[in-house]
Parts: sequence; C-alpha cells; structure tokens
Amino acid sequence: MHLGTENFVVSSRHALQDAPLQEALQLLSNNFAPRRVAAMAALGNAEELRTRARAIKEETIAHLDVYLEQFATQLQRLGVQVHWADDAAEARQMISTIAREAGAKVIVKGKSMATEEIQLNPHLEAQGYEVVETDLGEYIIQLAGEPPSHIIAPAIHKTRKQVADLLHDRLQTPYTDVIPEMTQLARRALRQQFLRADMGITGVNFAIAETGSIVIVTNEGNGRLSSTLPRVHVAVMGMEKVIPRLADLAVMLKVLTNSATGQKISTYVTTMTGPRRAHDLDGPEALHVVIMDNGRTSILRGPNRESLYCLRCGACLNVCPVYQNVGGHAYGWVYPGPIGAVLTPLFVGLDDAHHLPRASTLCGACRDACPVKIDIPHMLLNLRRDLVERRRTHWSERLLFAIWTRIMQRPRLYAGATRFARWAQKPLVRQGWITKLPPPFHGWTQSRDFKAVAPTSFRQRWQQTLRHEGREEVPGPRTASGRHE
Amino acid sequence: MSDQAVFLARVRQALHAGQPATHGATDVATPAAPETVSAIRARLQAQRPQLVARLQEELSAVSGHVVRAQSVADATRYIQQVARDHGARLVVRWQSALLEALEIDAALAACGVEVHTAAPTQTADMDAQRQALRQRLAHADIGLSGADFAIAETGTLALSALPGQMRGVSLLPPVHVAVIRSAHIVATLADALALLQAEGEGLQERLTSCLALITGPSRTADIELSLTVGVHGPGELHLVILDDPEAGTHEEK
Repeated sequence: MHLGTENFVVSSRHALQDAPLQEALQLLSNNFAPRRVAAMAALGNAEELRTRARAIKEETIAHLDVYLEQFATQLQRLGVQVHWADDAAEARQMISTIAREAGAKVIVKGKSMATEEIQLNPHLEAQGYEVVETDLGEYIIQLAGEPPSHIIAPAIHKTRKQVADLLHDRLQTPYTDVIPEMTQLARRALRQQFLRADMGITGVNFAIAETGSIVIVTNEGNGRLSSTLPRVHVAVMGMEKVIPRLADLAVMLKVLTNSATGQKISTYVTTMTGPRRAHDLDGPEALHVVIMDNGRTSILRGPNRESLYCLRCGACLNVCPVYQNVGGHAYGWVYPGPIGAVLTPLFVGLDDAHHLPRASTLCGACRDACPVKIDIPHMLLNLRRDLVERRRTHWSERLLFAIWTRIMQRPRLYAGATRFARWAQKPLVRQGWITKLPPPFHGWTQSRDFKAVAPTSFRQRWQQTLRHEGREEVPGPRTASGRHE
Repeated sequence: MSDQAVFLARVRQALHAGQPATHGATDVATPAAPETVSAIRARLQAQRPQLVARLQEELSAVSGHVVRAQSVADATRYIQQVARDHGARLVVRWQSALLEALEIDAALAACGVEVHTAAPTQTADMDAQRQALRQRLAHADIGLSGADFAIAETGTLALSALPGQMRGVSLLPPVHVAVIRSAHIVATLADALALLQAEGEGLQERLTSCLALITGPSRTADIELSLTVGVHGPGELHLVILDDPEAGTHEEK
C-alpha cells in the first residue's frame, strides 16, 4: 500500500505554499466549524447528548464480541451473507469474489472511508471491473486520480475552476464553472452508471445489533442509489460500527450530523434491514455485509481503545490548527487530522507514521469538538511516549532532555543554568523571542519560536512581590540538604 | 472453527487483554424510565398543532415546499398544480389508500398526465415487473408517495419499503411529492423508534427492507462548499400535510 506518512514534514511545507489549497482550507474553517458550534448550541442539550453517545460507544466496545455476534445472527436471519475479514487483503479478496460470483461488470460506490482504508478500487480495477465513485466529491477526485483530503468533503482541496477543467476534460462536455451546472453534468453521467451497475458498494455509518440493520447517511442520495438499483449490495464496515439497539440510533444520528455539517439531520438516512423482500419492487436481491478487523483488535488490546469510538464526522479536522494549515493530503493516509494522527500510526504502524503524533499542538480543540468526547490529545501523548520508548527521536532531543532532567533535579544547578542561559542567549534574542537556535537544536525553531529566558525568574519575582507586600520573612524552597536556597 | 468464531474469539481475547476506556458514563446510555407508549401518543396528540407548524418550518428551512391542505380537494389541486408547473407527462406513484382517496389519477389525467401505480400484480413474474417499472421510473417527471410518518423536529419524512411502496419513487424522478395526514407526525426520531419498537415482536418486519428518512431535496456542497440541490435524488421535494382526519383512514399498514 502506498504510504505518504513518512513525508509529512515535506508535504506539509508544500501545503503551506499551495495557494488554492490555503483558500479551500480557509473556506472549510469559516464554514464547518462555526456551523457545528451553532448547531450544537441550538440543540440545547448537546452536552447530555454527547455524554449519552459516548456511553453508547463505551458500552458497545466493552462488549464488542457480544454485539457483533448478535448483529451477525440477525443478519443471517434476514438472509444477509456475512463475511469476516481479518485484514485489508482478505476484505478485498472477499469483495472481488462476491463480484465474480455475481457476474458483475460495473460497480457503483457510495462514499465510504472503510473502502478507502483497504484501497479497494485499485484492486477491483486490476481485476477488470469498472468502478465508479458516485459521491460528487469522491467522483471528482476519482477523475483526478487523487485520494480524499477530508473525511466528509473529499474534494475540498479542489477549486471550482479545477473541477470545471476536470469535468470538461474527462466527460467531454462543454466547459462550465457554474457549480449547479457542473452538478447536473455529474448527475447525468452518474445516473447512467447507476442504471447499468450490477453491484453497489457502500460503507456503513451504524450497524444495529438488535435488528441486523445497516444505516447509511448521505446528503446526495449516492448511498440510497448504490443500495437500491444494483442487483447486489455489498456494505463494508469496520467492526466498531455496531451499536446495540435501534433506539440508540436517535442519539448517535443527532451527534453525528450536527458535528459533521451542522445539519439537524442529513438529507438521506437509510436503514436497511436485509435484502429486498419477496414482493418488493426494487432493492437489491442479495445483500452482503463485510465486517473488518484490519488491525482493530490490536487497538482494543492497547491503551488507545477509545479511538474506536470515532464516528468519522470530521469535526476534529475542522477545528485543528494543524489541519487548517496543511490540509488532509499532508497526513499521507486515508484518515487525516487529529483523529488521523492517532488512527494512522495504529493502523499502519508507528514506525511508518512517527511524524503524525507530533503534528499537534495538543490544544485540545479536537477533544472539545468530538461528538463522543474522544480524548485525542491523551492518545497523541500515549503515542509520543511510545516513540520515546522506541528511541524514535533525534539524538539532540534525547541529549537535551537528559541534560534538562539532571538540571531540574538540582535547584542550585537550575538557578545557575538559568543565569547562564540568560547570558548565553543574548546574541539570539529578538524582542523577547529566539527565532533561530544554532545546530544541533535548530530543528526546534524551524517552525516555531522559542520564548527567551525572562530577565528575572518566577521565583525571584515571587520573592519581590511578597517583600513588596511587607512580608519580610519569606521561606524559600528547601534544597535536599534542608538549607534555604 | 468458522471464520466468525475465530474472529469473535480474537475480539474477546483482545477485550480481556486491554484496558476499558471508560469515563464511567455507561449507565446514562439508556434513560432510567423511558416514556410509555400511551404517554408518547397522548403527548403527540396534545401537541398536534405545534408539530404541524414545526414540521412546516423545519422542512422549509432545508428548501422543501410544504403546504397544508384542509381537504382532499385542496391536496389534489396542489398536486395538479405541481404537475402543471413542471409540464409533467408521467407520474409514478405508490399504491396507498390516502392517494386513492385524493382521486389523484383522475385529477392528473384531466391535466393530461399519465399516472402509473407501482404495485406488484399476481399475473406477471416479479423480475419482469421490476424491469418494466424501473424503465418507467427512469423517465418519470414526478414521484408521488405517501409517508409512514414525519418528524417535526428535523422536517423529515419516513418512507418504508413495501410491495406498494417502491423505493425508487422518492429517489429517481427529479421531483418528489409526498402526502401525509397530520395525525402521522411525531416530534422526534426517538418517538418514532419507540413507537415502532412498542408493537412487540416482528420489529424486523415493521422496519421493512428499507426505511428511508428524507429531509429536503438531494443536496451537495462538495465543490467549494457551495450548497447545490438535486445531485442524485430529487432536486425538489413537496410535502402536502392533510388535516382532514377522515381521509385515507382505511389505509393498509
């Protein structure tokens, strides 16, 4: 699988220079983030809903084996074929086998991050299937041969003009850059594909254990068409998508759509319970559900289990100061942004994605935006700890922290070192900041400034303040030997 | 062992090996005392005027056209008007007692519109019927349906899939018109799910093969986040709310 995660530093630098991308990212932070805030405020009980949504995910994941088994039993009762995929390769294989046995030629796809995760399209195309993405954003990036850059707005990095050129070039239609006209061009092209497709592949937003239902949420209707018109419907889901009861849907749906787009509900929420029944006039004759592990059990074993609560709403991307500046592609894999910085190392391995846990200021905006209150900063720190333990840090960083540790343990040495630093920094300080450190510490100041050591230390000022207030005798901190410093 | 057994055993083993990530909030997942069905029904009954107003307000806010009809004649006239406005030639509709009470076929025929009722017949084989209907739907100008219920809080219509309630009617034509009696409006999705659940055994049957919640016309914001309607599904959605308590009460459900 192609991984761009190693290139995060270089890619993010390029992203910062990419003017159209910067414009698109500006649009994103001006739209999605304030809309979510307004929508959650309008709910009146957003905090209670988030608590309940989190509780539902906690309960599900804590008993995941039980709920998965119940879900599978219900599916089988409905005549749905259930496939258990251990990893991406197995999932791909299962899906192409379904396609072969169904005699499919043309496959339409609803928007699905799970199929991005397993790189399904290249596999199916290599086997000779015609695969058509039908979500407008996914369709655009499929025409461009690019991966998605946002979980719910996959083509956000493309400008209107770029899309216009692309449609004109690939569909051989007259040039237009009027958005409603471009949308109609795509509608006509894709409607033909929907009508000729033999198989539809979609993701799953929620899988209801109690009833064996799968729920798909879209605004365009691509999920509905992909699951209604073709003879065969294949729904692909990570095993964590299950929720226990039908009633839970009311809570989960509300937090999902309000967080994702600030909508009270998305245009189409389709709950499918089995394939079409004997006298139904449309709907698929066969329904397959592919349940994927693909690394999720190893996440269950570790300290980052709550990353499996993620609903893929994208809210954390929209509020993240790093994502807002570098966009989705810099992250190098399917899941970008704060949750991507956690999921990617967990899925592809920390060694291949060691930049990502560090690509965060730990400001906590992601945790505050998350509909299920996932503590993303905490998990980033877990991963950073793992990096230190694996010595995946630069030698200069290790040296610096070794020295720092020594100094911090000795108050007099600390005071002396501070005095020394105050003197030594003089040639480097510009208006209270150090913007450039000499090698080997220059990496620190490459993308951030370092605050200069203050002229007087906190402890000195503390003493002065107390003296000023007329309290003569001030006990200083005690040293290990019991004398006043 | 089967694939399923191996898979689930691995999950079970991982669950025991790992640390539960809990904020200790598990007990709030289900509210302690859920409202009884009769309490829900009484509340909805008492709130009926507010629910109708809210449904109208919310659906209008997402570009849906909502009209309240005091009589079946009003409802029929509105649907005729929509057909005329679009120069419609073919309407494909659900089989429903409510639509039949509107005598919609005759009314539309009077405007020169052909109406096709999508319902299975015993005579032809199902696959041939499906194929033929799909062709008709692909060329229909308007899809006309009922709705199982509507949700006031979000301006949502709920359409389940039954032999006389084809999914494609609300999906393929460029215009979708739905008619609902005001008695079928609930306040929230939670209400609707609670009522569905309360009928006891056979929940999977009642959910039907497909329960579609529809809120406004098909929309996208995938190009520069600019909102555009009608990308895959209908670009126009009309809802007729019928206040006449007698109409279509013999509807088979």
